[in-house]
This record gives sequence, structure tokens and C-alpha cells, in this order.
Amino acid sequence: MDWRKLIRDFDYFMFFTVIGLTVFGIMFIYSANLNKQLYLRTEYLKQILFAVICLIMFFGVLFLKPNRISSLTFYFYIICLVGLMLTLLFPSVKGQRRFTVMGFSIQFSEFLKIATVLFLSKFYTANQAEIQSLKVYCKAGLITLIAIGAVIIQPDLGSALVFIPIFFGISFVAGVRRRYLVYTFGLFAAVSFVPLVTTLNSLFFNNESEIVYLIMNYKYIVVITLFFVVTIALCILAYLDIIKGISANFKPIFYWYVFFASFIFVGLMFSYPANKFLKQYQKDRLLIFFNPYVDPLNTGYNIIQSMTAIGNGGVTGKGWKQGEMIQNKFLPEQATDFIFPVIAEETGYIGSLLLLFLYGVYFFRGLSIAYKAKDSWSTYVCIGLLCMMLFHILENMGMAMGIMPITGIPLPFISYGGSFLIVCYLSTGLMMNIKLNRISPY
Amino acid sequence: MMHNPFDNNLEKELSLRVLIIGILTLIILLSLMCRVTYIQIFKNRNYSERSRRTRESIIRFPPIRGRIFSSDGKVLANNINSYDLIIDPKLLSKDNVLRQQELLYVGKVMGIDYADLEKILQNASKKREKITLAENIAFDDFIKINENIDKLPGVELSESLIRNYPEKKSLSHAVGYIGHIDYDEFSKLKEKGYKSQDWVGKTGIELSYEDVLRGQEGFVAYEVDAKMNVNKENIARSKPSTPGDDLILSIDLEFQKNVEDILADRKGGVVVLRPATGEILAMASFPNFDPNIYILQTEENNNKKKELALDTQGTPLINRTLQSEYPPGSIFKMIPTAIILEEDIVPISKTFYCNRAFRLGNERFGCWSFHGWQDLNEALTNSCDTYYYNTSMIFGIEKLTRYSMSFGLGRGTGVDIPFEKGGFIPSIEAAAKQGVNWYGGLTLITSIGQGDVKTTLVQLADYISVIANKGKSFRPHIVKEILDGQTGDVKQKIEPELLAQVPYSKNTFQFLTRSMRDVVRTGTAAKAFARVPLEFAGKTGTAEVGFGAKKQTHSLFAGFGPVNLPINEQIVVVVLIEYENGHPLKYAGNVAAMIVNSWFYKEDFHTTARKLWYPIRDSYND
Repeated sequence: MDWRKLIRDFDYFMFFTVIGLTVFGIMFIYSANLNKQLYLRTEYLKQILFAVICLIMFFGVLFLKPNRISSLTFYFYIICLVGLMLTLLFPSVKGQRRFTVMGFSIQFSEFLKIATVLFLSKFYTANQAEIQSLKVYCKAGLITLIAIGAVIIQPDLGSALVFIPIFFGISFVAGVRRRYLVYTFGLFAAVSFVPLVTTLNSLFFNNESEIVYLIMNYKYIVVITLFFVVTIALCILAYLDIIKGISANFKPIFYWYVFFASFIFVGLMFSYPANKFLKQYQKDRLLIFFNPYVDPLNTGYNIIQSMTAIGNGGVTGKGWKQGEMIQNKFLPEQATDFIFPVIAEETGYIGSLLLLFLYGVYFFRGLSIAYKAKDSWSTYVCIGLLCMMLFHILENMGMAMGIMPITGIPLPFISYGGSFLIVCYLSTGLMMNIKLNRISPY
Repeated sequence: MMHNPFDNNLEKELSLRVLIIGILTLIILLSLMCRVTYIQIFKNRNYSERSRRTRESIIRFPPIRGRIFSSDGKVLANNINSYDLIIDPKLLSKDNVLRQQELLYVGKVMGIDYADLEKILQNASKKREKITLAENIAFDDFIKINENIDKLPGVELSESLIRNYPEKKSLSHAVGYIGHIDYDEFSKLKEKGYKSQDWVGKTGIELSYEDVLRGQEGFVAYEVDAKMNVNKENIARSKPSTPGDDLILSIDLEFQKNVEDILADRKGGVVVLRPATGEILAMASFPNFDPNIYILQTEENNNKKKELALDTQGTPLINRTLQSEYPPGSIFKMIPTAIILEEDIVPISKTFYCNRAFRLGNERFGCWSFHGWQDLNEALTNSCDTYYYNTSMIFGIEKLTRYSMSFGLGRGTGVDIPFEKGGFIPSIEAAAKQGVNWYGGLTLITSIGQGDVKTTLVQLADYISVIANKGKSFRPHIVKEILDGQTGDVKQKIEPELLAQVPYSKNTFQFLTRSMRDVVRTGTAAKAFARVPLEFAGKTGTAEVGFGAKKQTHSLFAGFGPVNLPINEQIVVVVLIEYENGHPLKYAGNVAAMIVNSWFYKEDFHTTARKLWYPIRDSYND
């Protein structure tokens, strides 16, 4: 790497945005833990230490050659998966397992996000010629599913969800046939249908909705199944000309019928087991997402207190270390999952807007790097990383404001946590690297 | 990747897709911004309020309830210190010997067996909470525990104020009692700041003067954190409590007790009031009850409460002076008398012959005695029914209804004690509403205060007041003054309030007074008042209830006087004794005579009874 090139092409906007966000984060991790136990009060110091490590890694990444990164992708992916498997050997503390070596814990699920982005990008780039084929799409899906599976057995539902936008983002940009994406999306929707409907039933109809009763009834499941199986089979036979004498003009109708009916059918078939698989507390989260006041002292408590803290901030906020809800410890996990209410209460609307503005700048820079990248791999990597970040921001802030269901995933650059901070810096480093290795800057 | 040369067309498509992702990002960030704006700007006020409520813990200071005094300064209701003995099983000595010593000491003082105490504690420690071993312990026990409290870890004495009625059964119906607010009351009183664990007046003055007695609740607001640790006291949002105002009743407690002694254990009621102002001087109803049992929730009290509630024969919770309606019987006869005097239909000197019966068609209406020829004065003095049967056939039911209403019967007097009944005066309209065609016989029995005529004793007292005051009466009331709870100054004096005013001539009232005086002097009440040297006027009555073999009678007396004294020294006395059935010891006239004597000579029951040659007995029920 040429020093002069580095100084000339280095994205100062992006870099200082990231530094600004990190400083912002450290300030409010300090504030959030001010009145807490001793071991929590030192979290901000640890975060500073992490930030320093992150900076070192960030600059380290800049000096790697992109094709070197690309060639190591597969090993990185495998290492992360093995790490996750090893994590399963550690005891579960508060429902979470941590891979701890000599006092340092590493969250491989966070690193797996980058690994998956890189792996998918490499895979799509390598198969650019047959990008429209179903086989390639299915293989890419498999890569993602393995990652999701490895994370979900930890168990860490929140982190597992992050892989979905990564997959869709990269696949979309890579130019996979649109109908495959629609089909996959439809499948997800169909799988979540029964858990969603039963939740709504218990929330709004006091478990007495007759339609839901029919859906959940054994006899009707058989009827629905038979209906789909017979019609789909007939359509396939007609489409493949095994049933003769049907005008060719009808073929697209059969095709699209099979297309939609099959994902609804397959999705529903998985939906019933999924309903059984989801734990009650996970369904409760879904329920309180619709109405947190159903159970204000128990499951809805966090969301109500977080929205109260945000709303209490007003325009100018209560001031750093002065948050009324925050300093009286009404929120759990104030330094990690619920750091946004801390910022929102103490700095008010101005601070919230500043935060969103900084993220806006970050995405703008990231997208422009993706836009101007010299090859498709670079674009895919950038988009994948940005989709990951975007989902984190949407989910974390959305959860705190009651527009997303509760899952504990951190806010990029802000939340306390070494692994994810490193992942954020590595992502930024990767994007910066891509910018620096552009052949011809515009 | 490098081996894939960029096609211009492909590159364009790729750029387009990146742009779409960019737009998506913008939409997501903007929607987050909208949500932040909504919560922090538009809903700021709601969430600030919610935040304040979340962080605030309010400790309420219930106000000290106002006291109730009699007019002679005796306490009828006040608040006393109550000490509860509480044991916190977690804080008891860990050392077994010390613990046993401790429990043995507590057990000895409280009279609880050690083994029982251990059993109680074992049950409580499962729930991991404090246990109230005894409520309102005796003061001696309190001293014994309190002087050793240092050596008794885990034993606590909590002090609280509880309502106390030192006069127990005296005036229990009028004073009433307080109790825990129930669901219906709470839903009504919520707006006034009552909380679900508050006490509230249930009956009597405690209920009707609830607003005055209660006072203003105070509170202290604390800022707390999520674990309810107090940060600081929020002085701006704190308020001391103001005690409720005290009440002074017009009741003379000494006289009230004499009246209760005189009434003794006869089922019935007595109302004594001052006609010049409407102040009630005594109000007795037997059977009565001890309101203190409604205060402490002990098993003994609960049993007593159950007993009271289930006593359908004695109905001790009913205030017989205003919650029960009785036919007034002959006491009603002043109304037809007033009609005859006012309307000039029947000359007052006209006589009718009484041979114990009056015939209307095929029906026979009896008189209680043989009276012979009777004019108006004689008829009232001797309470001759036949005379009134004859005259009422002349003037008719409409006048009877109208005059009764003008004397204040048939509607509540508005006395300041709750749950007053309104009584009933028959009329053609009321009968028509019930689908009854009016006929002459109904007029006859109405004219002697029987049939459907229903009055309460307070109404009768008001009706007698109209005669005593010669045409007007004042609303009966029991509360005389309201004293400020903090300073003790008179805050409000209850002024006499005109209730009934009748435009009848002076002659009418003079005649009525004279005739009623004759009743006491020579008529039906002469024997009872023989030894009372006061110019008292009155009327006896016998109210018949039930028909045929089940027919029973209540004995009534209503009177006023002494007629030679100015009006503000006169009193009105109404006495009713249930189920007299001719029993001489239950005759209301005697009771009234003793009450009158007791009031004017300030003599207690024993002195009065001896003076009036009245038998003194433990029970008058046999």
C-alpha cells in the first residue's frame, strides 16, 4: 500500500463518523453504568480498550490485498463455524453461551456475519455466469442456512435474523432472478403465519377466533394439505404436458399457480412445527410487540420503560449523566441492547437526530463506495456489510421505540461489546480497503 | 473475481440495484427518524408524565378523622392509639435458646402457648412475610413488650389510630360507624381521592357528615429508582394532612342515657326534640349495637357482626326512629280534628253517638271502647274512633290527604341521619296507581291512622312540632355545630331550617293544644302522667299491624309541652313500643311520662321510676 495513495484516498468522512459514533458510545456507556455495580462501571474503560484494538485491526485490514481476503474467506467461515460449535461446550449463563479463553470472550456469531458476507460475495462472484440459475441460488441459500443454523442453536435468535437481510441484500445486488427472492420471502412469510396468527388470536380475540380454531384443527389441516397437494400435482402434470389437450396459453397460469401455491403450502407445513418450536417467551415478545401494555410489569416492562425514557428526553434531553429514567436504573441492559434510550433521554431529540445523521453519513459513504467499486465482489461485500449494519440499527432502535419485536442485538459502534465493535471496525476497514484498491478513482 | 471483465450493461444494472438498496436505507433511516420525532416531540408530554409517575413513590398520610361530641361535651366518637404486635420471622434470633426465650416471653405476655406460637410462625415463614400476631393489644401488654423491645429482635410494635366509640351502645344508630370502603362506595368516591384501602362512614352521622369528618389527606412524594430505593424527598409535591372537623351534636348525652335506661329492653324507639329549633335531644332505638365491633377485625367481632346481621327478629341495625315505618294510629287524629276546625263543615259542638261500632254498608268498623255521645274535644281526648268515622264520611279522603301532607307526613323530613324512610299517606291517586278503587271503608280507617298510613317516629315528632309551634316546624337535625379540626373554633352553626308551614288559624292550634292537654290531664294518658306535675300535652295511639289472629299492636305516644312555658323551653316526645299487645309494662304513655320527668327534673331512670311509682325491673319483656 502506497502511503501517498492512502492519505489521498482515505475516506476521512467515514472514518471520523465512525470515531464520532464510538466516542458517543463510550460516553453513554459511562453514563448508563454510572449508578450500577462496580464491574459494570468499568465497562466504558473496557470499551476504550476495545476501540484501540479495533483501530489497530482497522488499519491492519487496510493493508491487506482484496484477493488475499477473498482467498481466505472459506477458512474464515469454517473457523467461525467451528468456534460456534466449541461455544456450545461452554455453560449457558442467562441463556447465553460465551466462548471464553483467559478472561476474554469471543462471540463467533458476530464474526460469522462478516464471514458469511465475504463467502456469499465470493460465491456469487465465482458463479457470475450462471447467476440466474436455481442451483447457484440454492447453494448460496445453503451457505446462509448453515450460518443461521449454527447461530440459532446457541441459542441466539436475534443474531440469526441478521443473516436474512445479508442474504437478500447480496442476492438482490448480485442479480439473482427476482422470482427466487420473492419465493424465499413468501416462504418465510408462510412459515411465520401460524405463530403470528396464534399470537394475534391470543392478543385480540382472547383465543376465541373461530378462523384460527379452524386453522389449528387437525381435520382442516388434512383438508388444506390434500387440496394443495392435489391442485399442485394437477398443475405440474398439465404444465409438463402429461395431461394432454390443454392450450399452451394456460401454461403460465399453471406455472404461477405452482409458484405461489407451493411456497404457501411448504411454508404452512413448516409453520406448525415452527409454532411448536418457538418458546413461549419468544411468542410473548411477538405479542408485546403488538401491544406492550398487555403485560406492563413483566414482558412489556422493558419496551414501556424504554419508550418512556426516549419520550422523556424531549427536544434537548436531560443532559449527560442526568437521565431521569436511566440513572434510576429503570431499564435493563442499558449499555448494550438498550443504549439508544440512554442517548435519547440524555441528549433528547437533538442527540437522536445527530445519531441518525451520523449513521446516514456512514451509509452514504458506504453506498458510494459500493456504487463506485471496481468489481462486483467489492460491491457485494459493501452491500452485505451495509445490510448487516442497517438491520442492526433498524432492529435495535426500532425495538427501543416499539416498532420492532424485542431481540437483543447491539447498536453498531455504540453498544458495549468487544466482538461486535471489532466486527463494525473490520467492516468499515473492508469498505475502506475496497475504496483504496479502486483502479481508477472518479 | 478479477477474471470477470465488466460488461457495460451489467455494470449499469448493478449500479441500479445499489441505488435501490440506497433508497431502502434512506427509507429505513427516515422511518426511524419519524418514530423518534413522534415519541420525543409529539408524545413528550405523555411520556414525561409517565416517567414522573414511574419514578415517584407516594406515601399517603390519612387524615385524622374528626371527633363527635354531645352537646354537654362528652365524646361520642374519637380516635385512639392502637398497638399491633408484629413478628418478623426473618429477624428473630438465630440462636435457638435466645429465640425460645424471646417467644416464651411474648407468649407469656400475650397469653399464647409457646407451641402454638411456633406453629403460627412456621406457617408464616413459608410466606416469608411479617405476621400480625395481635391487633390492638392492651396497654399493659404494650408496656411489657415495649420495655423489653431491645431484647426482642424481630418483634415490632406498630402504632396506628383507630376509631373508637366510648359510649358503646348509646346513640349507636345515630352516630353510626365507619368501615373499609367497599366496591360500590369506592367507584363513587374515587373522584374525591379515596383509595381502595380507606375507611369511610357506613351509617349514621359518620356517613352523612363523611365529607366534614374526613379531612384532607396528605402525602409525601419520594423519588425512587427501579428497586424502590429512595433518592430524595420531593418537597414540591408533598402536602401535610389536615384533620377532619369535629361535630357537636344537639344530643344531651346524660338525658340520652336516661332515655335509653327508661326504654330499657323494650323493642321500640324514642325521639325527643326541641320544637323551636328542630334539634334532636335524644334518639333511642332498641335493640341497639356496639359500633366498636366494626373497627377491629377480630374473630370475636366478626361473630358479633354476623349475629347482628342475622338477627331478623330484633333487627338491631335498624334505626327504629327513622328507618321503620309504623301506622300512627290515634296520633293521626289531630289531622281530622284540624280539618273539622278549619273547614267549618262539621260544627265542633256536634256530637256523634259511639256504641263501639260504626256501620258502613255491610262492614262494621269498631271503636276501642264505648263512649256514648262525643263532641270534637271529647272525641280527641278519649280517642273515640266512631266520631272520626262519622266526620270523615262528611269531609272525605281528599281533605285528609291534603291536610296530612301539609303537616309534613308522607315525605321524609330530611333529618341529617341517612336512610330515612318517607312514610306514606293514602290518597285516591296513589290507590289508583296500585289499581285499587277507593271506597268509603278506606277513608274510615285512614281517618284513625290505620290502613295504609305509614309514618316514621321522626315524622311524627315533626308533625307534633307543627302543633307545638302553632303552624310551622323546623327540620329535625342532630348536628348542632361544626368545629374546625385544627383550631377548635366554631366553623359552622346549623341554623334552624323551616320545614313545614301551615296557614291554619290560631284557634285551630289552641283547640288542638287544649284537647291534647286534656288527653294528658283527663284522657287516655291521664294515668301515665298522673304524677308528672307538668302541663304536658299529648296523644296516645295504638298501631295495629297484621290481621285477624296475627293482629298485634304497637303502643305510641306523641306529645309536647309543657304548654305553659315559652316555646323554646318546650320539648316534643315521641315514643313507640313494638308489640305491646296490651301489656301494661310496654305502654308508651308511661315511658313518655318518665322521659318528660327526666328531662325537666334532670333525674335518672331510678329516681324517676320511684317518683312515678313505676316498677323497676331487669327486663320489661315478660
